Amino acid sequence: MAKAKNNLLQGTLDMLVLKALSLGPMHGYGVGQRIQQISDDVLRVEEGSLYPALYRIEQQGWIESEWGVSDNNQQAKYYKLTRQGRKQLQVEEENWGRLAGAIFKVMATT
Amino acid sequence: MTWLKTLAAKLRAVWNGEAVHHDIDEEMQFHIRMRTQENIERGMSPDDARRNAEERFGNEGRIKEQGWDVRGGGWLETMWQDIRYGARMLRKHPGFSLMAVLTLALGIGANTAIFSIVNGVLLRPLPYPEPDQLDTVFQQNSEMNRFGISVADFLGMEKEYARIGSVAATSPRAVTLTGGERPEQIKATFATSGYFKTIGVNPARGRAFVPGEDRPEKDPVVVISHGFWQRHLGGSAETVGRRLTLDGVSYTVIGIMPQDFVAPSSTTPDLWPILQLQTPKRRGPFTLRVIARRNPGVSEQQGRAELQRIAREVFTQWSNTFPDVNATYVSTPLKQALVGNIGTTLLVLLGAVGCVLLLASVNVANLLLARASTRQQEIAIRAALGAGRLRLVRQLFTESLLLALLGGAAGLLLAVWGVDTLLALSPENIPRMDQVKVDGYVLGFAGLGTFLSCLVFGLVPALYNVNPDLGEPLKGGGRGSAEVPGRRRLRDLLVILEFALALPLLVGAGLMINSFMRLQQVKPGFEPDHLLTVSLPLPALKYPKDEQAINFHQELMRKVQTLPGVQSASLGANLPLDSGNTNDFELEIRPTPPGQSSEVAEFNPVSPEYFRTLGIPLLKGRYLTEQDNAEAPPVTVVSETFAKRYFPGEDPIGMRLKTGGCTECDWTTIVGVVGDVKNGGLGAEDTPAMYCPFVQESFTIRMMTLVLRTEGDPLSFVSAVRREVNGIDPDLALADVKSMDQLMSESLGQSRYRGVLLGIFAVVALTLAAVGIYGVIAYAVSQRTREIGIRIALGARKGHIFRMVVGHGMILSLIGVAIGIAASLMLTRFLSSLLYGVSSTDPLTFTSVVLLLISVALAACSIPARRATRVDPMIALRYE
Repeated sequence: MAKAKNNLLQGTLDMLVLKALSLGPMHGYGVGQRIQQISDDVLRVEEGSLYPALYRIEQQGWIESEWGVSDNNQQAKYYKLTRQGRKQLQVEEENWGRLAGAIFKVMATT
Repeated sequence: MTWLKTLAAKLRAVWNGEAVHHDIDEEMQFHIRMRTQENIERGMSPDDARRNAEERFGNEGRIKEQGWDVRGGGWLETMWQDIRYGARMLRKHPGFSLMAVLTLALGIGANTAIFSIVNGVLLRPLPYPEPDQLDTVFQQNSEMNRFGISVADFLGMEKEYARIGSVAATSPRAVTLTGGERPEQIKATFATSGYFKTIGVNPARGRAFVPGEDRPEKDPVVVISHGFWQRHLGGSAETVGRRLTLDGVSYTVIGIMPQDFVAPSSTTPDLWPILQLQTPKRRGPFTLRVIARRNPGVSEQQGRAELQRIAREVFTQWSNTFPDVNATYVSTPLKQALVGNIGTTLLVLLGAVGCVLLLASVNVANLLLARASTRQQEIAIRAALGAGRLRLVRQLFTESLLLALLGGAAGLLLAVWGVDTLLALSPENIPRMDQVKVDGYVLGFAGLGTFLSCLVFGLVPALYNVNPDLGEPLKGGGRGSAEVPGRRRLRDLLVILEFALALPLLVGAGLMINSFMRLQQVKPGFEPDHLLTVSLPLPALKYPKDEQAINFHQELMRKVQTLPGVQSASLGANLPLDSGNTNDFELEIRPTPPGQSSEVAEFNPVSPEYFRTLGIPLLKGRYLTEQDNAEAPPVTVVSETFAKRYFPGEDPIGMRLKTGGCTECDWTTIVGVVGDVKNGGLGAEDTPAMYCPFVQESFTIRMMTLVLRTEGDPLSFVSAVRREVNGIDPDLALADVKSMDQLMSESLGQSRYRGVLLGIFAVVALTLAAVGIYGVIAYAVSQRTREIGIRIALGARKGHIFRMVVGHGMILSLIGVAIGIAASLMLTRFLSSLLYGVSSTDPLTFTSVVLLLISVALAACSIPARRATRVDPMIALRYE
């Protein structure tokens, strides 16, 4: 059971990362910030989860990375969604929508 | 594709882990810098901002590690570590490593070398398109009697077989090439016009024969080999269309075969002159070899049925000159016909080297097990530090794999060299030897051998070495602590296995060597030393009449007889040991019943001096004489076996017979009986034989062989003979110049080959077994030093200690030998077709091999046993 829960969370994090990157290429720090900002500070991504997640997603071929220069003129590693990643995001969004809808229905019964 | 990317990333991580670590580190640092900056912007002091950023980030080392878990090499990294560690261990023990690698190289090398021969001779398909559709066709009238195809047969076959395929007839014969510096004998295969079409290979330049070109009124044409073109014609571009004079006939060169063309015969000739078939007047003689190609989809059975149908048709057409209704056409796959009986020899050799490889693997396993005790501590420490059992087994196995790969590579080198040696050693009559090369299959086999041997010697010790009980080895300090009982039993078992494997090999080699020695002692029925044989093919064009050939031969004999050092000179159509020329005959007193096949005997037209020259004794009646000339009534001399078989209890002298199915011929009278000669080779049974005056047999009169008995080296007379021959006919070349000793040695060739090779493998096996038992006993002694010391201190006598140690080894070897005897009894019957004069369970061979093996075991055990008796009790006790 614990494992399944973990997977659910991990899969959700992956989806969030993909979503954040779908707005444009960004470095790891920015990805975390973006998720936090958009969720109005509700979702805070731990660094200990963020980086392994990024590496894993990169190995899946859903994102690509490249060293570049950040806004404040520092060397930073930028991640970018690949075409495959865009497709994956779509799939996960649909799944998530269905799941969220289902949970909502269950919770809404009185 | 994803897995490929992952693999690439892992490889990069293994190759350049630093870069990946650096990459991760940089990214984390950037993260912290960004957070710090943000904190400052929110109004924190730089120090607080930095501290807060670091705190929020959490345990940097752990996060980096988590990143590395994803981006690092994973299993690939583990493997790489194992390999590096294994290599370090092997380098640290060079003696052990060298021994193991050499042992394996020997085993794998021998296997690969023998397999490459098996592959070339037995497994590779014939180098023609759709080789499975090719057959050889011959004639047989009983299980035992096979013979060739006649012109009459072939013409009938050619017409009828066209419905399901094509046929071609060949007749191998050396021809004399004139027009160069001096006349030269060239190997040729006369072939009918369908030859190249049937085997399915066309000349690389020029053209093949066209249908109808094989009739006597057509211009003679010849196709030449690439080698002949290069050597004799300088590879000239204008070769096609030029003329060659062969046996006095002018041939037009119409084509040149590809360089890699191999003919479907034991050797590839240089010339393929067209075989022009004269319209036959009678059914025989049966001298042609026929190759048939079935059309795609026509099975072997269908081909055979069709041949039998044709045989019946041809029979009715020619029944007046050949009344044998049992004779029919039979086909065998061409490859099978070419390979012949060498298959058994090669498979026996392959089995033998398989045993050698197994022995080698077992020995290396033993070495590894012996080393295990010294490594017990190391392994225990690694286990204590958290290495899992599987991880340890994998690491030990990787080490073994490294050994195997090194051994395999060295073995392959050995094999490449060994194949050349094997080819050089091989007798000339092993077919398809030119097909032997190291190809993909051979490499695959070497790989397989390496892997299998690694499984044997790698996995077993790896599993046994990983001792789940950590405490003991750590406490005991690794030395002196008693060995794990299971492992000692395993080592004992391996020694038993080695002896059980070595014995069948030794028995096999013993039987082969025994056969070879017996063959060597076989009395061939004549005196083979100081004999020179030279064959003298006379071209029919230049010697169209029998008298001309007779005159040539008689003049030559007169001249060579007077050469200083020549004791006697004679002629024979066939030579002993390799004749195979037979003729059917019918006795006057016992006519063949109608429709039955007539009896067959060796048939050798000879000059009167033949018997005295070869030293064949006269038993009864008289030898042939000069008075038995072409005009005289036909006479013959028969062999002892002939007389005994066909005239039991009767006097054969004066009896009459007719040969060759010739019903209108005069009766031939038997005038003498001579001793048996080994005509079919030294190992063959004595067969009935007939000798008639060569002047009375026009069929062989142009293909006689000169036999000289000389003083001193027979081969030193070659130039004198050539001078005399060319003195009579400057256009003749000598062919097949050999001494009878060479022929004898060739006849022993395969037997010697088997004996030598199996002997070598047996010696290797014996050495491996000796090293194996020595290792185990020596190790046991070193383990028991303390115990032995106590025994000596308590008064045990040296003899007792010696017997105790040797006894341990002897028990192991005796058990192994007992199993080996049982295995040998089962295995050696596969050898029986290769043995001569010994049974496959020859008690003498078995006894001597067992004694040899036991004494080797005794010698190997006595070295450590003597060491045990010299143990100083004080030192042994203080040792710990």
